[in-house]
Amino acid sequence: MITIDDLTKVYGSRTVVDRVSLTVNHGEVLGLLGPNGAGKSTVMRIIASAVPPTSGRVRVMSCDTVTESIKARRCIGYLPEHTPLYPDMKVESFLSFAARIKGGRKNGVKDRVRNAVIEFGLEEVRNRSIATLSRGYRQRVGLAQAMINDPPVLVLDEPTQGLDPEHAYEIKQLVKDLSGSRTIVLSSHVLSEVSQLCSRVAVLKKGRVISVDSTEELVSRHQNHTRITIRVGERLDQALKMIEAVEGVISASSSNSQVIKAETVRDRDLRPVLAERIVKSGIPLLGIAREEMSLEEVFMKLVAGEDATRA
Amino acid sequence: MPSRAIHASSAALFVLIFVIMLAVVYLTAMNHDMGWDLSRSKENTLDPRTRNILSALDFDVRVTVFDKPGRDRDKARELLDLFSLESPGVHYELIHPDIRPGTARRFGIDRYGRTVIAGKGRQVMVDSLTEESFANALLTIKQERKKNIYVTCGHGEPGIDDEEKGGLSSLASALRKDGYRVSGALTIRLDAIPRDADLLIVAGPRERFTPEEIQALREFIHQGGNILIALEPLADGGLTGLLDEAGIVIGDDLVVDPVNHAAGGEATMPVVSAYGSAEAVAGYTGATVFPTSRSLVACDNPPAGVSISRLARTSEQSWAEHDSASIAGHEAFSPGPADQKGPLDIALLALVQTGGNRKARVLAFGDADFLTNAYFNVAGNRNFALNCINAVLDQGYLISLDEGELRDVPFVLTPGRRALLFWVPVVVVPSLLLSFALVPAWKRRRA
Amino acid sequence: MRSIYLKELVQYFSSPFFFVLACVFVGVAGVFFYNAVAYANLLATQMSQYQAPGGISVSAVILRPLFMDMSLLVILLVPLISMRLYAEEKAAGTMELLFTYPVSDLKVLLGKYLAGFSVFVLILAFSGFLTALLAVATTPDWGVVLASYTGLILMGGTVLALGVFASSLTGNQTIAAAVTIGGVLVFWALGWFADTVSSGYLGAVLRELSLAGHLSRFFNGLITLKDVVFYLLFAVFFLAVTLRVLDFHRCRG
Repeated sequence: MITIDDLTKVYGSRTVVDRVSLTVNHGEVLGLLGPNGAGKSTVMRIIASAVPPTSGRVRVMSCDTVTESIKARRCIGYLPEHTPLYPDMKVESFLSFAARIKGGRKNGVKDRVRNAVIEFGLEEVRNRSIATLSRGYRQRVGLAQAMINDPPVLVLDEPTQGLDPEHAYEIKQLVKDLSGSRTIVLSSHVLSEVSQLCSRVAVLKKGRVISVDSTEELVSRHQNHTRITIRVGERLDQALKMIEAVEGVISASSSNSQVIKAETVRDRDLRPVLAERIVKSGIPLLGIAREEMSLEEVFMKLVAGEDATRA
Repeated sequence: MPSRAIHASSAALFVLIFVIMLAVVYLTAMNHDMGWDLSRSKENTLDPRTRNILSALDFDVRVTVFDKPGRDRDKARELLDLFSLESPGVHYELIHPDIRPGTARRFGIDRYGRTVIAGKGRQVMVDSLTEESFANALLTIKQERKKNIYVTCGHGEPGIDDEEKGGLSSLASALRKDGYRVSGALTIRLDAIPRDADLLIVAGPRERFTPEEIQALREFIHQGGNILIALEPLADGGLTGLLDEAGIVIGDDLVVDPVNHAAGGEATMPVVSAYGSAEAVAGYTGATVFPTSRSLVACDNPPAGVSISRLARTSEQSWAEHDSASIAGHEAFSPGPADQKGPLDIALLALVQTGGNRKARVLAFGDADFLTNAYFNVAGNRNFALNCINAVLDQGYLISLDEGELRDVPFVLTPGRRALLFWVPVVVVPSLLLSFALVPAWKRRRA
Repeated sequence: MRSIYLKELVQYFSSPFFFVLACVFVGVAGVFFYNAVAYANLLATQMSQYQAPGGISVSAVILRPLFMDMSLLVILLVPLISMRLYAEEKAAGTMELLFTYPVSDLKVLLGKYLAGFSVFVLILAFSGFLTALLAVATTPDWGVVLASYTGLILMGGTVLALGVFASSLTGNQTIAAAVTIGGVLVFWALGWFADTVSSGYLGAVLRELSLAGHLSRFFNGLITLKDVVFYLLFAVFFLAVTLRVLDFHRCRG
């Protein structure tokens, strides 16, 4: 449905997207994951024809986004980052504008707007001007305009960004409902969100795709660590060295003069061993705790780790 | 950034090419400019005379106006724009004489508004640019040689310098304006008719021409000379025979038209508005007044080499009064059995083919008064007379079909209406619009 | 294109903007109008004291000065109409939506331009009652009125194109309006420079480029091909350059 071939985008001297190749299949929900500035938005904008690529090509429903731009755009519903909308327009008139400009059948604009209003729960605000809407409603309006002509491909750039958890949940539900027969590309820097919504995840970093996995794989591959936090009274360096030498510890680091964070394998609890070693060497042990790594941390690690291996 | 440089230069190239394209389109439009004058008084439309002169222009004209910026200069430019709209051969330049004193000195400019009109290697300077001064300057430049018109005198004809109501000074100055040299010819002997005469005018002789003079005129015609003969009733100047030879018979009568005569005038001042199809009068719709005139008859069988065309005819209600008592004013006019019924010819043009393949033209009018100062500017007389003469002298582009029009309209404002013109535009309508702006906002606030 | 056009109109009318602008325009034009009428009245009275009937050239005394003043109002009015067309979209980020809707940039541009043009013509049309009011005092030359409005509309369309261009350069509406007014004044004044700077080819070119120079014939009741073509080409030029700017923005993201 979407084929991205060796896509590169250069702004001035900055390469924002660097030789990205991806394929999104029919009915698939692909997540683009990466820190800010990784090039997620740029990739999505190129898919949506908002920006032409510097080199490489993107095809949406086998239409080239440069040479058959208008045709490609007809197949896409796009929700840009930060959900830009016309603040001075009323919800309904904005949606009918979107319906009309996306063309197709001349009549039926009213029906489509009515359906969208119902589907996205906008009945209460249909006659309010967009400027007066809450963030949650704004996001729904954004989704509604993307979906208004029932496009086969949806491109959603950070659909839950800036929303409180309740609204974010609503939006995620809406996206879930939309998936199925539709091809969806969504971006996020929240792994948990991606893991809930997407069947596959492409991780981007500095404009490159560093991995493409199914969501389960990605999580299990990176969530095999357990972190142990150790607080010591003194001689931090010695303790650090000692901890690193323990079998089962993958890495250890300290962020201040008292706390050491150690990444350990997941299948064993290393707290007894570590505590014993520290106490034996006469370093005062103030505390030791074990925590599962959150998805966010996995993500951070993923990105940071890649950095380390490249460096 | 090479790519940015390429981008910038390609954008610049795009703009450049685009500008050139637009400039070409604009220049094309400029060179094929045309205008639509929507104003009722046709303020932007040149006088037909000027238009004719301009459209017959076969050389380029450079107009240089020396003036300081201001209303006069703007007027001059508007005028020049109109000229160049009419003829692509007109180019102009406006020069501030104080900023370019060298140029001004070269042209000898000593006053603001002076304008130099140059063409064909000749140049004419006028004090200020007006439509008339421009047209006349063009005529001066255009004519290689000024055509000469001589007006006979010595037989009781009115003089060309006579500014009284019976004189011909108006005719003479109008002819001079059209670029002719007009002078009087004292006596008519063959050798006295100047060789450079392009037209000889015999207007209203009271006394008879001597046979020698008539012979001289005859010779003049045979040599291809043009002659205008305007005769009053009861005074044919002995030219009957000469006109006969041109196929024109003079009626010994007085044209009377009880219906179509000048307003406030008598039946002996017929007004003519029916014209022939000759070049001089074709399409002319003005009215011409011929105070006391005699009728002319075009010969059914004109002499060999002569063709006659009609210029002006009176109405059907007119007749040619032969009754001498009536003519003398002793009796009322009534159409008698011998009186020729209208329409009557009052002006004819005979084209005489002479030896050596030359063509002489004889213009005959049954009236001479219409050329005099008293009547020259009445109704369409001026245009009619000038058109006939210009046609005879092959200056067809000077023929004018126009009568002037009124530009000013009354402006009456009663105090009540004056208040209306203040309150409605300044207060009522803006407040109405403002309320349209404020009401929705106010409603929203209340809601 | 229709959908863009309608959307822009909805936006123009969603705030008091339109009527406030119309009110100011018509109000100021009304003051100018009354001023011209009062002067004409004075002239007519004076003339009737010296001569018999009070006849004046209404075209020269009322219409021409009125339309001259209105042309100045137009070059201040139109930038206020054009300023939001692109700047607002850029500020709100909605450019990105427009870029991804299945319409070409050209259609978007034309839709926006025509919407601005309609608003301008509508506001200008409100002033039409001024000349209609003249009928209570005299018979104005409707041909001159018609030609003058034609000139104003063409000139306004040109300024609008310049304004759309300025609006596409920035995300700030105020800057867009300021740039437009500045640009228009430069083109407006080119004729004056032409008179003083040079009288050669440069002067001729400057004069032909002058926005004001092409108006005077309209105000005399004369519509010439040259003037019409000038305004149309001027507008086409700035619209084309705007298209180019949009393309540049699209590439730059």
